[in-house]
Amino acid sequence: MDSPRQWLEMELTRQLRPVSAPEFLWNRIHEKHSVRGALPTGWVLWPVLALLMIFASGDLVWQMARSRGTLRHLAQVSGRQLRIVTSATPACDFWSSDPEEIRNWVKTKGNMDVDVPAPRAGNDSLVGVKLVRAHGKMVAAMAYRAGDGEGALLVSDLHAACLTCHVKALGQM
Amino acid sequence: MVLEETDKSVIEACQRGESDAFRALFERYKDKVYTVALRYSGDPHMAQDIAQETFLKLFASIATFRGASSFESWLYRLVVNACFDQKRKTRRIMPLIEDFLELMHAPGGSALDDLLRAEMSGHLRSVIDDLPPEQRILVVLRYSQGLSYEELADVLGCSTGTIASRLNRVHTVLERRLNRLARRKNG
Repeated sequence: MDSPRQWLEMELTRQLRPVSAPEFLWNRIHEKHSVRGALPTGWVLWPVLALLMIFASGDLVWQMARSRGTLRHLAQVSGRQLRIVTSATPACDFWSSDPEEIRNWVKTKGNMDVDVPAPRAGNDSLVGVKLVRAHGKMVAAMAYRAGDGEGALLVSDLHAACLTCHVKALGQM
Repeated sequence: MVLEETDKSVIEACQRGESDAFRALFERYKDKVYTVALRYSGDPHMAQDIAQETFLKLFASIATFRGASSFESWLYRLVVNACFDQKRKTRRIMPLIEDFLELMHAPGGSALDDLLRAEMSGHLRSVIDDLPPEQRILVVLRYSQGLSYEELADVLGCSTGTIASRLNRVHTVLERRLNRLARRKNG
């Protein structure tokens, strides 16, 4: 009779034994690899750069985030993408009011480098960030609290947009 | 994990951007990558996503591979990072562990032992799933890939002493729970 530890080690070896990758895996990877390879870097970076320039130019975007009842696009983000972000995501993945911390987290987890803007008004604050996949693309939704409302800034590798979220709880962001 | 000559030539061909070489590299390592992904995540769909991300990162960054560490260590690090990036599934932990340990402690003849251990096998997957990510990946790399302490240390970026201590901790946690259950039964 084996000791409990011997049994456990044998069972771990048995249950974690190597398996074969599915045949279709290469097609998935090859397809994505071709798409990524075909994307010119400049086109990927332009929307993010444009967004940062807008932030640099003043409070325009922040004011948009604070306005209620409107959905304003800075670049093309499909309605479906926005619905995914606003309705299907339960909470922030990472909670922080520090733009640098959020930037680092998004960089690590989402492979995107975004200069996260800090709110300018004293009673407004950055809340956190959530990463979601929409149409196979990573989207970072950065949550801000502005007075008694919340806003989210969406940034993906191809698109950027700002919208207001008509929710009371950030859990519904 | 010594780099074989065939690997070396394939990697160099990948670095030159030869598309056939990417396929060859994929064929060479797909099972290893997928096994780690599947055994870590416990979910075939998530494992496919992890494997896909791993190979895409591999293809995108292979030009930067200079052979300072072994290629397999480098590849395993990509898999580990892709695994950690996946959201950890939430599952109920304690009841499963308690069941598992209670069964492990059960006395009896060999036939009953076999039966109980068959049941325990069914619970083991859940116990693995509920390990913290750092411990789970360690167990997966150790038991699915058969990596040595030195290789694990290279992949996970820590000393062999740390690896030994972490592996021992995973086992010890289970044993401690077993003893606690025994004391409870006897007391």
